[in-house]
Amino acid sequence: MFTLADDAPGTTQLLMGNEAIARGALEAGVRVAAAYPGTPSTEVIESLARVAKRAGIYVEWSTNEKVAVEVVAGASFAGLRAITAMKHEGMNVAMDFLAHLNLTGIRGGLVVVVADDPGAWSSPSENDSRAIASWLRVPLLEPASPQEALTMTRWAYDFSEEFRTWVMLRSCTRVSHASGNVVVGELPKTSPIARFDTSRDFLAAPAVQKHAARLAQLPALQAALESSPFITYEGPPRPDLLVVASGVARLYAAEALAILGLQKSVGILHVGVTWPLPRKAIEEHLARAEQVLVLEEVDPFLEGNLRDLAGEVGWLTPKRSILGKRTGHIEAYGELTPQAVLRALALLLKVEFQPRSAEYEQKAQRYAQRYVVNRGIVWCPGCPHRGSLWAVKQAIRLDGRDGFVTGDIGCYAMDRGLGGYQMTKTGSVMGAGTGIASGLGKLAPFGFNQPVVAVAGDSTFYHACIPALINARYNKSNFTLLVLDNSATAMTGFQPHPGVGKTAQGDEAPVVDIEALCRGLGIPVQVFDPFDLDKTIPALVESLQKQAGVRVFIMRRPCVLLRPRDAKPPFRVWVDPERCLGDACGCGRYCIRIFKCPGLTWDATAGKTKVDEALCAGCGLCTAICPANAIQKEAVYA
Amino acid sequence: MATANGHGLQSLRQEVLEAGLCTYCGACSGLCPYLRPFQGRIAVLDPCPVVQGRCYSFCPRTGLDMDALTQALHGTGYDGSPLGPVRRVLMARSRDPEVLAHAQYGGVVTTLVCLALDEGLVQGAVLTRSQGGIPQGVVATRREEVLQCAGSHYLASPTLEALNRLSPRTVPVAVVGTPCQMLALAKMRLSPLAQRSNIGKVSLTIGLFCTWALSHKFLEMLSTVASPERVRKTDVPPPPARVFEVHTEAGVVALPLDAVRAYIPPACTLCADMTAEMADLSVGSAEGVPGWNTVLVRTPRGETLVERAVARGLLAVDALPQANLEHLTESAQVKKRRALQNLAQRSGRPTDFLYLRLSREVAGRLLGTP
Ligand SMILES: Cc1cc2nc3c(=O)[nH]c(=O)nc-3n(C[C@H](O)[C@H](O)[C@H](O)COP(=O)(O)OP(=O)(O)OC[C@H]3O[C@@H](n4cnc5c(N)ncnc54)[C@H](O)[C@@H]3O)c2cc1C
Repeated sequence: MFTLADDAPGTTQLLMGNEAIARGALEAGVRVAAAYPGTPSTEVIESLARVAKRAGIYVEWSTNEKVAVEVVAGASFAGLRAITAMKHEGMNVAMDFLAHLNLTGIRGGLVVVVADDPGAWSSPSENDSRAIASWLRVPLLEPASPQEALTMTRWAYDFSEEFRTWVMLRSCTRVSHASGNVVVGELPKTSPIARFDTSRDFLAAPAVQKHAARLAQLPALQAALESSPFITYEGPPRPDLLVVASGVARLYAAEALAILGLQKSVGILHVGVTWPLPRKAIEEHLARAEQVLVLEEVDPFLEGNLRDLAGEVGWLTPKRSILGKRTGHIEAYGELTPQAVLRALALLLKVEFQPRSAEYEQKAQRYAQRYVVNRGIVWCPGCPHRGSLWAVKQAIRLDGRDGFVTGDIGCYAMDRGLGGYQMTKTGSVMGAGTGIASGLGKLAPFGFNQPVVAVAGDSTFYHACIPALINARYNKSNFTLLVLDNSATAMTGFQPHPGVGKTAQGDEAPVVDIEALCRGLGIPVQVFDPFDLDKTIPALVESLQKQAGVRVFIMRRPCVLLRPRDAKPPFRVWVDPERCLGDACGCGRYCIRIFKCPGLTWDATAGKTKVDEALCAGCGLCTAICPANAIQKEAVYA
Repeated sequence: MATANGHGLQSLRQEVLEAGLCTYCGACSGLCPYLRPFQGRIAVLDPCPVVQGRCYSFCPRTGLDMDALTQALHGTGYDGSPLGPVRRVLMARSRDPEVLAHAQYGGVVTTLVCLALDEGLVQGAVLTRSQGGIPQGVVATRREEVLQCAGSHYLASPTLEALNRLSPRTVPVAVVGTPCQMLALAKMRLSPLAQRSNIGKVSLTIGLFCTWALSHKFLEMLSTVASPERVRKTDVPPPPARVFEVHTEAGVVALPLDAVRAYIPPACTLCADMTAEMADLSVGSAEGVPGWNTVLVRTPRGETLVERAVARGLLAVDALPQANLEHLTESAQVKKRRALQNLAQRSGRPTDFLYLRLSREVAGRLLGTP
């Protein structure tokens, strides 16, 4: 099996977009890689971590994206090539430093990969990161396929060093997570020595001069991009319509033209370098068209820049137009789809197009349902978060003052899913739950008397909760923080973090003890097993009612998915049919309707609940909630 | 009788809990996982889908048809007489020194419960026991357990939760409780959902006189004079003393009654029953006769029990002084009138008494209006 560290130049390998980026970085001689996991960017660093030792590089999971960028900047300042990768939300965290790194300059080539998530498949927002490149005046590359992802990444390093700037490589879910055939190149045989040249500095100041220098450099930078291999044209010399596409949109355009049979009359200009705009190359193509349709993911970024250019060069006349998201031909939200491209092209060129019927979607759903269980967003059976959030719900309702949860980013956010308890009322970015609670906890003088519970996972705690927690302690705020310590960065796929005693490369690491850390802040800490409801509920009620400063509860139990597949569950769990009264009980199917663990199902024939043995993880939590004590458990000894 | 058709937890919540009508009697509790008595409040934990709920049906603060209830228990309609149907009025006192050492006044309640257990009339008694200052329902099956429950706890107690949670093996049982609790039992008996309650197991009911109970917030005030564990007894001595007595090992602390009255939950001001009219017999203090109880015997069952206790030499009895009876009658009447006035004020209509259903005629008589 091929690994990214195998030197097999010229061979064709099946690589995922993110792996292709990683390989491109290795071929460019990258020595240092650091990131915080975030879908859809995670595999860039994860696949480098896997081959770190063989490739002789250093790879780490950093506590957050800002730190990660600082780590790779350190490497760059010492003359090494480096890479970091993040999702669009991670870029916001890194922003503080990135917005200075454009002025400080760099030494070793530095690529910052940002994987946007159009359609917000695994994110609470769907921002377009590209505006940041134009705002910070850094070059922007947008690959369309795994092959291009590799080539562009490798290419970016020389460019980065030549212009002493970091380069933004913007990917999207469909590029990062698509797999395709990639011809790989050669791996470097030598490695530079890391050294910080103390005769120069990497300060942002003096800012005005540095800013001016940055702007002065742009024409040369732009000229260099003009001659990059990432601007290509396919189509007739004088197209009826010129499609200008960046990223994966180019592939959608090609597919749509093939379906509509319009390859002879419509041309596609693929612009892989979108900032600064390669004006000359584009101008040439504009000159041969009367109508332009711009296709890209999320915002009309390229479209806006193109319109500026068209205006400046006098191309825009009443008879000519630039169409796209601004003109409503394509929606400016959600993920771009081949269907949307088809619809826009058919409309513009007045060709017959049988759009996919609404029934198609339903039919597809129906067929799919035969193979997958119809289940909303739920915590896995055996998930410790179910116990924690259940305890929070019970405590808040017992307290009776309409308390609520300020949430955070992690599996516990599924409290808002079908299987959750709907206690979480805020949730957007990492660490915000604690910060918002810190603010709410100071509102008593204004009549605020609702108890506030902040929740954060262990990885999230390290990522961004600590400053908010210090703030809360210092300013004497009032709330309870639940650190849901499941020993994992579960949502992104179990990357190690400072609490688990292992590094990205699999080496032993010291454990950063959350408990000791909170104690050090002078905050009372208690550790609980989230499945011990008899202890957690009264303790939580007491904490909510005391309102005595900020308190931390560590709810500690490893994620159930960390249990080896062949390991025995802790309990055998079953429903005693004698005790389960079914609908005669009066409980209104409490275990299924309120508790909602997917391991419990309704047996329609028997008219009672039963345990789905294929799903039940044997945690035994449900035995505590049945009012008839019908759910039984028995310890399983391995 | 008012049925519970189409009324569940949601209605209970709107009409009773959030309207400040709940007496915290516990009749709705221990039946399901959706609500739980907690710190003087019925906490609603989750939305319940049941359309016809026992919680709503058993609640003494929903559709309380006084005529039907009185008819069912006492065989007469509700006439609004201050003390309700009474067969015999007397004064009584336990002859058992151990009982007297624990009891609130004359220990009649404790004595009768012990007798009923001894004679096998009941196998258990649903009583109220305070732990850490918080009263709760318990099922006593032995004399020691009955003695542990002796004495009055002035915090409202969700005692009937213990009846609802009764183990299937304990049958039959006695229930001791306040007037609202006796009303709840009477309502359970007539409920279309009675089959799904333990009311069929209740073969003896002893009611306590009650002017009001206190909300759990009172614990804060109490703890300023004594920690709840150290309180041996609390008492409201008869007028003219306007105090609330707290007895501890260190002596008696008298709290000003007016300050204590601030902790009376609004629900108590809407109660029209001072003497537990829906019980087999009702027991209260005998004002001015320390160590004795006033006893109102209401049913043949109650009468047999008292007679047996006297025959066994367990109770001393005497006639209740006429002045006591007059004063009791007047207090009971005042409570009824106030309740009706308060209810009419709440509803905003002179003949709408919210949960309380009375004939126009009886209501008019109670309010002193034609
Ligand atoms: C809240 C409350 C208010 C009262 N108000 C008056 C009043 O205004 N006038 C009057 O004459 N008498 C009142 N009483 C009754 C009185 O205090 C005695 O309970 C009664 O006289 C019986 O006395 P005893 O010596 O026989 O009781 P004991 O033999 O001591 O037995 C007392 C019994 O009361 C029960 N009990 C204690 N606390 C509660 C409670 N919170 N809820 C339900 N049951 C309880 C126990 O289970 C115990 O079995 C009140 C009682 C309570 C609980």
